[in-house]
Amino acid sequence: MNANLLETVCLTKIYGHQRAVDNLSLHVSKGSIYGLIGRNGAGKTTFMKMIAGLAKPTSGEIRLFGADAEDSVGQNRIGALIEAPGIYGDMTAFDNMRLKAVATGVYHRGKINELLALVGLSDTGRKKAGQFSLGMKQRLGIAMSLIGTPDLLILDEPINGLDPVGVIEIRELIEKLSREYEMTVIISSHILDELARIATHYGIINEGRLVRELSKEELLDQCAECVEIKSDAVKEVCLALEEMGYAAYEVCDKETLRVPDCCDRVGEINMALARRGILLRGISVRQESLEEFFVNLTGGAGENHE
Amino acid sequence: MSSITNLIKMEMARLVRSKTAYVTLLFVAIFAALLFAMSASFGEQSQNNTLEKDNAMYAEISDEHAMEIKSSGVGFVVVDFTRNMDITFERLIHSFLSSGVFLVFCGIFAANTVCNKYKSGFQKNLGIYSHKKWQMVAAENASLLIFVAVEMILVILILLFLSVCYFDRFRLGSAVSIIRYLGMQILLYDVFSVLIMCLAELIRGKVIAITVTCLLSMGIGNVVLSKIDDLLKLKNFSVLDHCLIYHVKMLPVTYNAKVWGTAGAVAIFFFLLYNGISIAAVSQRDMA
Repeated sequence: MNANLLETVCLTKIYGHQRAVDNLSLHVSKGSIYGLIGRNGAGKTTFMKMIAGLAKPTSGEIRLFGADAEDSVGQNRIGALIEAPGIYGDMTAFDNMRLKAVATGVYHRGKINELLALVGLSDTGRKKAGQFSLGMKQRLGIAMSLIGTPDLLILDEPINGLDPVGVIEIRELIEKLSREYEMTVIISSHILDELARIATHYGIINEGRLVRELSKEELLDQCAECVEIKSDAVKEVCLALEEMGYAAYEVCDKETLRVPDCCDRVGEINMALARRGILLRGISVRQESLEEFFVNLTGGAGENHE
Repeated sequence: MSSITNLIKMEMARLVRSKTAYVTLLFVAIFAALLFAMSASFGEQSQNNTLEKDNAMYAEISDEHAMEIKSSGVGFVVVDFTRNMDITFERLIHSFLSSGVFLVFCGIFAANTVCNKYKSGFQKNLGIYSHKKWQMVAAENASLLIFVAVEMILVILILLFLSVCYFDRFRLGSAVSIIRYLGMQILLYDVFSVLIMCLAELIRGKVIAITVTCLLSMGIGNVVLSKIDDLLKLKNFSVLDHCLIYHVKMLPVTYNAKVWGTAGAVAIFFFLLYNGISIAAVSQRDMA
């Protein structure tokens, strides 16, 4: 039995002359939290729209729940929050939820109140959604995506506009949904540190193409460890490292250097520098962050524009 | 429960919960009362000979045809009446509904309903659950039909109330004729709403959709089509005779198989045409 809940095969979306998504083939396994990483305009949102049925692919195939995406039953098992939440500003949170619940045939007053409580919107009363703050609208959008208890949840930058406490709450909510409801989640975020905390799998997209697809374990293996040296005498440290044969160091700033592929010899380096009378402020082994891994993989800073 | 049923229920819930319907119906009620008052006032003034110039416009109207609408030109014209006229409710309804003024409100409601859906982004929630997107168009049709029917009933009730209060001798006329006429006008008004819905789906612009609503309600379309007829000079065929607004304005309250049959056929044709275009637009275009 195919353990992949979602598979895309050469999925492409072209707007005019722009290939927003280009032959993208990825796999999302059941029960995973799949983090989609990419710069602005990389094609993440367009990809999510196609999975959610909001945009028609130019070519390629989407297989959902083991069947073709044209199967409407599969479509009914998806909840999505794409870009800004789609809510009527002249209606209350409850009324917005109610409309969607009625449209999906799962209206139950108690369940709506439960979902609103889950996202922290149980006290909004008669306040119209148009008067909500950005964070409140985002929470309402998340609550609406959970109507019908979907098997696949698609969240496009769900923590936009949330305060730090809200970010933690949503992170815990996603983990709970994955753990207790066995919900599969596809989530995109620019805050890679947050994504690194919860995602079990990653898909890195650049210029509409899938650059790398890997699990968390594979990412940890891939993210290179290095020795980080902090010292006021950076020039002397550089000379010393070159004498020791560690020429592939990187000067990060006026007091920090990083030396790859020598984590097992950090003690030796420390001793060597001490013998040369070089005072250090710190020396440690650190692992490349998801952010650094992504930047290195996609070729550095700079924005894609659609 | 099938998804189309759910979508229709959702549209009904939206109709009840949204301000658009209530505000529009409020203006319908105010306008109906205002139009009645203006017609009565104009009639009284004419009777008192205080408007010599304006009276000339209506000099050719005999008492027998006092309630017929002059609808060949641009604008809304409701002929004046006076308190002591021997008038039936049947003819009063004909005057008001065939004037076309209430088409504006149907068009405004249709434009607002469709454009608000896209502006709010709510359709992103629907797109997920309605792979067969024609169901969304069908659900919107149901909402428009309900609104048109409610609008018509509201206008009828207001006219009935004001008529009973104003006229010395007020008669209902044929209830069967009223119901039949009302039914056909609901169909024609509904198709007009579907036209505006189609336009709004295509351009997703409220301002243009409402502007077109106003122009068509005023009869600009009739003028243009009559000019086209003059240019084409087709024998035994008139483009204007097959125009929706023309039938709204010219449909007689008394049953005539040929006229009513043509009106019904035109309504059904354009109903299918506009819905077909809407479904094609919704199906082919991205939802967000």
